[in-house]
Amino acid sequence: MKSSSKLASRRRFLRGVLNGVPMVVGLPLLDCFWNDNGTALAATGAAPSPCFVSWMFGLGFNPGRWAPSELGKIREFGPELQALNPFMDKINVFSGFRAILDSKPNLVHNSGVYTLLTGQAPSAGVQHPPTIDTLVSSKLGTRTRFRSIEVNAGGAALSLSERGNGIVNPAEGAPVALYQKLFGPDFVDPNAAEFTPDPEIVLNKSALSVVAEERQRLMSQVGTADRQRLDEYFTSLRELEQGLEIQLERPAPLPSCSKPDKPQEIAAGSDIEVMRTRNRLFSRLIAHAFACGQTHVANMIYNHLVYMTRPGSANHHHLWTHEEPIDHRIGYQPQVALFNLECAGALADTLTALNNIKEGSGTVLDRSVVLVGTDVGFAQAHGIDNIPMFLIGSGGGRFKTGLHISAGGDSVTRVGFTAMQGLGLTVGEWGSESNKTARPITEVLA
Amino acid sequence: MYCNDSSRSTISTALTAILLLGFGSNAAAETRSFVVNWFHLATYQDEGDCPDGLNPDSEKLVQQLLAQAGWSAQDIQKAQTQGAERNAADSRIAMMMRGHNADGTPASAWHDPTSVPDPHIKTVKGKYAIGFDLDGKVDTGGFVEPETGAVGVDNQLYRALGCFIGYHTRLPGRPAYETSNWDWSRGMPVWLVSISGDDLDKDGDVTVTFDLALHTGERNAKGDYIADQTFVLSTNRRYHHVARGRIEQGTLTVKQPFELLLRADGSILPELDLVQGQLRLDVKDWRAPAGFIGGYTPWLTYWFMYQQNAGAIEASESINIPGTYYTFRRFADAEPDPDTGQNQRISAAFRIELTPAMLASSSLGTYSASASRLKK
Amino acid sequence: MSKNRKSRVVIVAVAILGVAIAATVFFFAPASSEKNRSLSGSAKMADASLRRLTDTQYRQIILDVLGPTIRVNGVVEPGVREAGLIEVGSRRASVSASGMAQFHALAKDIAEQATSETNRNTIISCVPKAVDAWDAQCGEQFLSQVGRLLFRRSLGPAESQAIFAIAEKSATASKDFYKGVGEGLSSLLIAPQFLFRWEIPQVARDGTLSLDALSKASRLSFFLWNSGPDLLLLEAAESGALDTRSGLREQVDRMLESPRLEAGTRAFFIDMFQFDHFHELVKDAQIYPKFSAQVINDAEEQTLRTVVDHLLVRQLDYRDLFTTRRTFLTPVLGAIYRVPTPSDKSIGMDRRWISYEFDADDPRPGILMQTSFVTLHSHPGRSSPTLRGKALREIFLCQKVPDPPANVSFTEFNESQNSEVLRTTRKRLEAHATAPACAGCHRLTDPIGLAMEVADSDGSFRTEENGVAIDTTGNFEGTVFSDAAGLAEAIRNNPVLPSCLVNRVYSYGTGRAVTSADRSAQATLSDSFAKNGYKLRSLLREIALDDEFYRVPPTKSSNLMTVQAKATKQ
Repeated sequence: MKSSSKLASRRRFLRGVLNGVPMVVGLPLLDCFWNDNGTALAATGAAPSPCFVSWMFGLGFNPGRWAPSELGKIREFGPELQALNPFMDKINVFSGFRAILDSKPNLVHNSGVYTLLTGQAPSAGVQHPPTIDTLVSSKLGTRTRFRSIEVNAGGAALSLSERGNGIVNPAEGAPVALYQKLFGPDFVDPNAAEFTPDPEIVLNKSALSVVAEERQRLMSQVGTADRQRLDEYFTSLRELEQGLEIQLERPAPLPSCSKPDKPQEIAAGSDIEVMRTRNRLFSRLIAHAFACGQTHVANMIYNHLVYMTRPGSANHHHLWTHEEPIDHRIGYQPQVALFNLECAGALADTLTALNNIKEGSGTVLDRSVVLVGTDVGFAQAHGIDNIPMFLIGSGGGRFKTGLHISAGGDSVTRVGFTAMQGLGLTVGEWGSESNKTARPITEVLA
Repeated sequence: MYCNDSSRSTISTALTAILLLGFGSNAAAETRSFVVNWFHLATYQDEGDCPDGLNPDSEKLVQQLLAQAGWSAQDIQKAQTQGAERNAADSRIAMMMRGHNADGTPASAWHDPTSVPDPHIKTVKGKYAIGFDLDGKVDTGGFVEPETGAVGVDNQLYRALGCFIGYHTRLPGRPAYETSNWDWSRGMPVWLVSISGDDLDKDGDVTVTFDLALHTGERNAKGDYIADQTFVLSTNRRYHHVARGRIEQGTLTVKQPFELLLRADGSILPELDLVQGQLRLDVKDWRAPAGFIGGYTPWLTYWFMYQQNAGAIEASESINIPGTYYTFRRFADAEPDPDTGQNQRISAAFRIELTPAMLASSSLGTYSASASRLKK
Repeated sequence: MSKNRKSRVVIVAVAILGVAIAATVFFFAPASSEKNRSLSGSAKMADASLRRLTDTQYRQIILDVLGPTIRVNGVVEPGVREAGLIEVGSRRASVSASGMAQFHALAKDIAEQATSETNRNTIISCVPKAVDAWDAQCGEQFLSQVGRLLFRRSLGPAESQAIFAIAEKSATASKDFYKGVGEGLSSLLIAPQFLFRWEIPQVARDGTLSLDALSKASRLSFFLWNSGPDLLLLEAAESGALDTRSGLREQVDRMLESPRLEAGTRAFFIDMFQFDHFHELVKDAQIYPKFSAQVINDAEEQTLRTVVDHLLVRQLDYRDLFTTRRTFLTPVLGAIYRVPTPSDKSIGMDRRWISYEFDADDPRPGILMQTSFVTLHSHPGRSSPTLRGKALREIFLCQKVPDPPANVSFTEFNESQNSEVLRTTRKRLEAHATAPACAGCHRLTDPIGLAMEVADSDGSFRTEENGVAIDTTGNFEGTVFSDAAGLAEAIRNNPVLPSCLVNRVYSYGTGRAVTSADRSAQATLSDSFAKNGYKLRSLLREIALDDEFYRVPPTKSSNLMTVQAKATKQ
């Protein structure tokens, strides 16, 4: 990546005050920062950070009614996922993955979801390892205002985001409260903010340039063919250096950032309409938070451990999953199916909110990767085989999408592990005992 | 110096005989072994099987039971609409303590079911039930077998349970509570079935051997046991039983009654205990034999399966704990107690589905020294 | 051994100098190495050549140098296979931009782990005077020691200064000694002196080019241990002992006795057997419900354990690997093979692997029929005699099977997949054997693979396909057989089998494809291999002690070839 003369002038300005010591530098908006038309801030070329969302719902889908019937490119979803049709090419569906217990008891509505989030099948009295969003935010969340955001569409503070050692990140249950937190009086417009270069990167870059200085001496030692290879090495080294240089510069302005309208108060309860509304409002706020660089990680619960009710129905969702027999004429539980459609619809609402904010030639959804999971593969039996999981969004081109991948009983951890590797975390393996994996699902890694 | 397993658990093929032919069956030309992949009450469902309607769903049942416990309609409504408070400890305790001792003090209906009057749960009045004529008398039982047409089918357990919502189904559906527990249970030592005969692909006499394994097995993505795994047999004679039957036109039938005892799992059934057992298996596909096994089973043990998880059963599965106690006791149809005359066993039939497996005897040189009392 | 190695005193310095191109500075020097020789300092003898580290080498080195508590949390950019080996491709592999980013991330992560509070006291043997500032004595001591092991030679003065400066700057800026050490270590791990193996030639006594002592040490340690030289080997190189016959023999015998030989042997067979393809292996989960990630891991380990047990522990004949019935299994593999595998894990103990011997009449002997081979060379949804036959020839016999022509239409075979008439693979492939355009190549592969059809795509054992009994007759190089056991016997007795191994082992060590110029050298090695009962250890020893193994072929860019020719003519 070549730097333009406009950028060079900014760097010179920076170097003069830095002296290898971290300092806050206020950069005035000089003329050279604008693009040729003077209509927008010229980008430095640094790509905005990818975003990660975990979206956990409860009680799964009716087996046989969600995954596409074919493997590979998705042409049609199962009946309970029809709401996701507009996003078909952005979704990866994973079927046949399970949580492996290794003789631990099946903690109902618990083992499945915690295994896919922490890599470890939970046991009573044993603290959970950090959840995947904690690992992701240690890379993506260190320089944002919020390391991560947790929300619960059921209205409670229950959260599935844990830091390890028993520390749980509590969730917001009310959209108004989340609005206040994100866009209330403490919100600062990122396009006017001051910038601090990361001191560690300054040192890293300095070390790399010392290695680069070896070039002349080493090149003289080798023959022609090998000289080309060494040249390639040093070119790659230079690119790495340039990547670090860009990180030392003020990040690109965020033209997609806009402050959303304040949402209204929502009634309490877990009626399906109330749940959908809460989820929609949370999704919109999170999309704006991403666009404004307030955070890069969000954890959303839809109806995990919250039992939705339909007007006029005697039972709630959870009860139906256990009580309703499988209708032998159609092969599934029809009342349960009605609730499952709501879950798919809510997911579609979240994807819509993320997709509605345009960024360059893509959208916030394109810059994100959404890990969708649930607690069971078959709610009636608390079965934790074939747990529905999706990865949605290409994470800024880091993932291929639109595929259906099936596994022969591999652990659910492979999906989370793939998400982490795709996002560039240095992770060689994840999970414990039979859930331990070192094999990402390479078909979806770009 | 090198990583080498020959000094560790070496098991030569001679020791790990694929089958234990010497264990009580005649020397036969071939044996095929299986693990029990699915096991649950064999239910049926048809028009008119519950003419009085089904038993109330959990929502209604909880309302009834709390009312029985003396709660006001308001309090009941509050408990049922407050989200997590639905399962609040106080409403559970109230449901539990709805019984009364002789002196009027509150008693636990779950621990002393007779502390409430018999609620007379609705039971099956239809014509059909899966099962067997266990006592050889066509005028007892009262059901007709839908598959074979046999009359005098004895299946009082189904009669008692078939009008609960979770049991009101038939294949390919399965009763909710039992199958969810079977699926959960990843620690249960598996049940093994071996079939021996001169040529199992032809009609002929066969021997069916039931055993318990020492351990559980690996499952695949669908929750079924992976085929062709090896299971180490328990040599505990209590769990080893042999039955004689016959294969004809792809169906294996054991008519000569046998006994069976297999240890299960606390959350399912503490033990499967059958007398006057009969078996009917479709063996056209030897990679997936399936059918039914019937017999008289202790009704109190079966009731314990619900009783031990009474709160969740009543609140989520709508199965009335004292109700089933009274009904099982009334419907029990075998093995009268010599003193009281109360029948201790109840007729039943269960669905059984098998997956191919290999059996091995525990090689004594390999396992712990405390196994030395076992015969080789 | 085939070249005349009587040392000659070649007094042609002046003549040589006169002929040399001005750009090439040439020294006549006895075949010895100086202590602390480094790339910066001594004059260049001749062009060095580079081999990039592979993933397993990177991990092995980190394990050997920094210990088992350090995790390598990422994947090294994969190499390219050439002439059947990734090791030969290592002469072409370089470091791309994304590979560089990966190496950088790995280096930082490893350095952070090594200097963390839990690890620093085990890995860094000295303690700084203060933790919040640079301590030159301790810091430089550690970085020199670890640098020597990582660069596989002592650091030169300029190199040392550069690394020390980086570390000091970082420690001072962050007020943290260990951060400084970490920055220094991280720089070592990303340097080309670490990531590439520098093979530096010098002129031997007979005027030919040979690796200098430190390069010799590297070649030897990567050959036998898949890692950099340890301290003893480095010292033998630096003292000149490695350049003597007895010194070399002492090191080679020490290394062959070491437990580290197993890691080296595994690395070789992983390369030769192309086990890197396991990363991409997928099977259709609906068709093969038994196949899982666990099966893949176990299948690879099964074959490697079999090989190590057969060749290193019991030191048996290499050819018998194809007919042996002894192997190691886990319960998951037992389900695939449909043989009993009661392992201790099943009753709660932690041992999954058991040693197992198949019956004498089992139709699946040897490593050919092991799960690893049959699953790697099959399609996700069905088996493939063609892929298996091709792989057998290319991997074990060093033969090349031509690729299919670009315009071949596969629809005929795909449509017949579910045909009622063509129910077995044999029937469906009959067109391969009869169509003239196809038969030429397919008769090289199909008759081999068809004998292996009892192993389905996931390795599971079957005797019939779509209700029809599988016919496993086949032929290979004139031998006819009725099943895979017969195929295994035919392969075992084929003379190309052992000579292909010799070829691969040699190439693996030199990083070069064997060419026609090496024919007589290879023939001698093959004869020895046969005389010694086809034992791997004797082959390794013979190669490691052979001067030829350390020879450097002349490069085009220098005029040394002309010089050599002139020298030998005299």
